[in-house]
Amino acid sequence: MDLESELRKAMAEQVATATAPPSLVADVRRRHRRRVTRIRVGMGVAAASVAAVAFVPTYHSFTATPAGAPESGRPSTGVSVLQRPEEPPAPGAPAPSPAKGKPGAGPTHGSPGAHPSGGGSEGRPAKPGPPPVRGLPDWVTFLPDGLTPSEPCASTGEDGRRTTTCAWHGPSGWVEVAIVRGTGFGIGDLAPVRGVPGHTSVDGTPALTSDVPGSGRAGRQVSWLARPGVGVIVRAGGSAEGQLMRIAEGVRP
Amino acid sequence: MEFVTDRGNALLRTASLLCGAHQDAEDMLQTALEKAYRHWGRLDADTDPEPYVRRILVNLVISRSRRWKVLREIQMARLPDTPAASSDHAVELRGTLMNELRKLGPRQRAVLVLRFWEDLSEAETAQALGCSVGTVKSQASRGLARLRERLGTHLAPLGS
Repeated sequence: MDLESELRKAMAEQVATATAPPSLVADVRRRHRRRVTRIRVGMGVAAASVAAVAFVPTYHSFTATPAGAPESGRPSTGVSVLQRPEEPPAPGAPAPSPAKGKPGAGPTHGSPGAHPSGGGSEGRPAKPGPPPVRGLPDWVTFLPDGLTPSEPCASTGEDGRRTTTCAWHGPSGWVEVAIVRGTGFGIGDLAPVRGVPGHTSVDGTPALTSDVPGSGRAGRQVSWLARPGVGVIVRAGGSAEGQLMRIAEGVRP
Repeated sequence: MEFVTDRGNALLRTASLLCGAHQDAEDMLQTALEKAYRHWGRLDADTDPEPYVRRILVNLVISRSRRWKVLREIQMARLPDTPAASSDHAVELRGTLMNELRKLGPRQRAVLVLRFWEDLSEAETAQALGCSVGTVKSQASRGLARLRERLGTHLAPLGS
């Protein structure tokens, strides 16, 4: 008798009573299913995390796109920005008009007729207009109805300034809003003017108004310094020209 | 899963000797079988899957022992008995032998189990462990030498 044979006997005695449980196959299958489920859940959580992380910059890029972008992250409530609670149209109250306390802000035109909420001047009854404007950038809170984005908002930079321009157009009018950020410019340097500029105010801030320079399109513009280093230029033509000041007061740079 | 039904007992006994505790052996065997089940497609239809499962089992036990080495934890099947004089020398010797076998390193224990319980050749043991035949020889020799050394006087009646 040697150690090896004694070891064999000892092992045989040790495991003589060991038998696999009848549920071994079921246990293995259950363990496999649990593992597969665990992996799938893990992958799902990872995918959701990646989607959530990717959503934030995508959402910001969408909000910077012009109004009417179909993939905008803004909720599609179907409600015009004119009908927002913070800017309820006063029934019967005339819209801000250049002829009433805002000299030089543009010629008096009638409402473009695209005002579904009855906010038009002279208390005219509201009539159904074109579809409301959706997907506005965060810093534009009012646009007349019926406008669609001309092209994605564009950013240009030169001489220490960065200008972001968004434009909308409709059947009978157009609007262009530009935000200028930078240093070393004053209200007079913001935008070229045609003729002698008029003086007005936007939310109590001094502003300059004039006709839109150039012969390509007719309209009015207003420009002001919202705060040091941030200037705003709003141009409007056609039916939107009459709402130039209201558009300007709705800009939150 | 016919394979599990046929070879379940043998595999569980091997796992029990490799692990040293019956409960751990069941857990290890389930893990090994699940792993084999996952990759069952890699096996040829006419190949015996047992060496494959056995190799998974050995690797799992060695990996687990490496992890537990940090904890300095020794898994026992039951609470250690207090030594008492036994009238049956052979029974006492085998009990001591198994206790000493559990105290060996996982690789040495695996070599001894595969060589003397599974009756595998040195080449088959080397294949199961993924090492050379020389390593199997040296590990078996050292393992047996350590058992002889630790058993000491118990082996005297054996004449070794």
